[in-house]
Amino acid sequence: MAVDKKIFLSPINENNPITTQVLGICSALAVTSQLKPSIVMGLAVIAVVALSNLITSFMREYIPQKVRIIVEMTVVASLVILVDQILKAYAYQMSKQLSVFVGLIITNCIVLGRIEAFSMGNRPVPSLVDGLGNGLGYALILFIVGFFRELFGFGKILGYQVLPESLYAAGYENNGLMVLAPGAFIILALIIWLQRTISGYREE
Amino acid sequence: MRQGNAYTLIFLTAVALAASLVLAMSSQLLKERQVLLQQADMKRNILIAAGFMECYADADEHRREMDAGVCTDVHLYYEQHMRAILLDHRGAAVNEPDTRPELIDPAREAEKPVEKRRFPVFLRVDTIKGKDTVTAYCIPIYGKGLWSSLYGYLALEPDLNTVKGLTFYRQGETPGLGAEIQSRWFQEEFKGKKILDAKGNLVSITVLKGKVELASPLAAHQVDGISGATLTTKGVTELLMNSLSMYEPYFTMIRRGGSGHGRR
Repeated sequence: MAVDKKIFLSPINENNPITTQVLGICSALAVTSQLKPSIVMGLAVIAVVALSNLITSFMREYIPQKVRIIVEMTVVASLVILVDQILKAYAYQMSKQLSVFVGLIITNCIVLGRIEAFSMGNRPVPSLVDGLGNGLGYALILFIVGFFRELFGFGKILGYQVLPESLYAAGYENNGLMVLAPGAFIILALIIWLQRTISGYREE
Repeated sequence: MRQGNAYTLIFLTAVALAASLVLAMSSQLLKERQVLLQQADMKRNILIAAGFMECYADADEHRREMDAGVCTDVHLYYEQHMRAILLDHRGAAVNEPDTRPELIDPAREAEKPVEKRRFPVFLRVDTIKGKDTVTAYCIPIYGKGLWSSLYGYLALEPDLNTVKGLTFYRQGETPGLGAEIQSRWFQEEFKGKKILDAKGNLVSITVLKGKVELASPLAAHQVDGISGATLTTKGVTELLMNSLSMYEPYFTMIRRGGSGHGRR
């Protein structure tokens, strides 16, 4: 079965859940002060969106309309708990650092948004692809924000010093604002600006 | 679309059952590994406070994942060098074989009435001239920072006055500011500081706003603050005083020459 490439590519660029729909901002601000937690969080969200889309799409014909949201939330919550358990077992220090934000994927609007908007009305394979695309679109923005915040806030990338000592000797200082939430706001706004300028998207 | 109530109920029951089955299974499968990592992390911090494993004391090392080998090392080292005992609020040793001192959560203890609380002490025991000698007393420290609860360990020398080491292993303060309490330079500062004044009263250690004046008579009880993290360090000062005063009955007894702790 041929899947329209646009289902995958559009949420990464012109229909990006963060930059265009401005969803899932809470975690985008909270976990991006360094690159590594941003990457792990991005992967976690990709897994949850893709799998919850897939599972709800399989069940879409059987879910009673009036308890639709309850069933969807059960699926999402189970997946999130699963991800959290796996992180605790295989990346304990990282799960300590991400703390509540893994659990809060449940309330990430992107997840429920994609189920309601896409997987409840589409076949499993396109739904999986749609979930992967949206998760990746979200993760990509997290990577970019995390990269710049760690670079300017700590002078490091993935924990390794990249800005040379000589720069600090010449009077350069790490930007403390980048470490705090406002730093994420500023970078996020710049990305949204850039992305909307290129894609020509207008708020109606 | 099926809309009957019976169908809805059956469907929901099936979904709930399936979800709980999956979660129960994953929890069973992963539990062993989770507990291993969690315990290794905690024991490693006790060891660091007690003056072992200096190479792990860096904040970046704190965040590095431990593989199975490191976990086993930590467990073995811990079993070899540390003894844990349990105290009640008056500082008397209690014998509760069912309670693992390592697993006591200070946050949960703080909610109990004082006479029900249990206080673990982790003793570093070294063999000196063929005799087992306690060379450090390590206690959990716990309190509130600016945003989050701070968890750590504080180790004292056998004189129960001089600080041997301190670690924070869990905190959710602002990265780069309050979270610096986890950095090595901050934790190193505490080494050699005194918790008692000349008369032997508990004064604990104060984190200053700014630098310690070396000429000051209080310098032995003070450490440099972290700029931009005044409220977090205020929390550290408070939690040190609180945690130490809980253990003061026990420490006083030991200082007077009582043994207080049975060998385990």
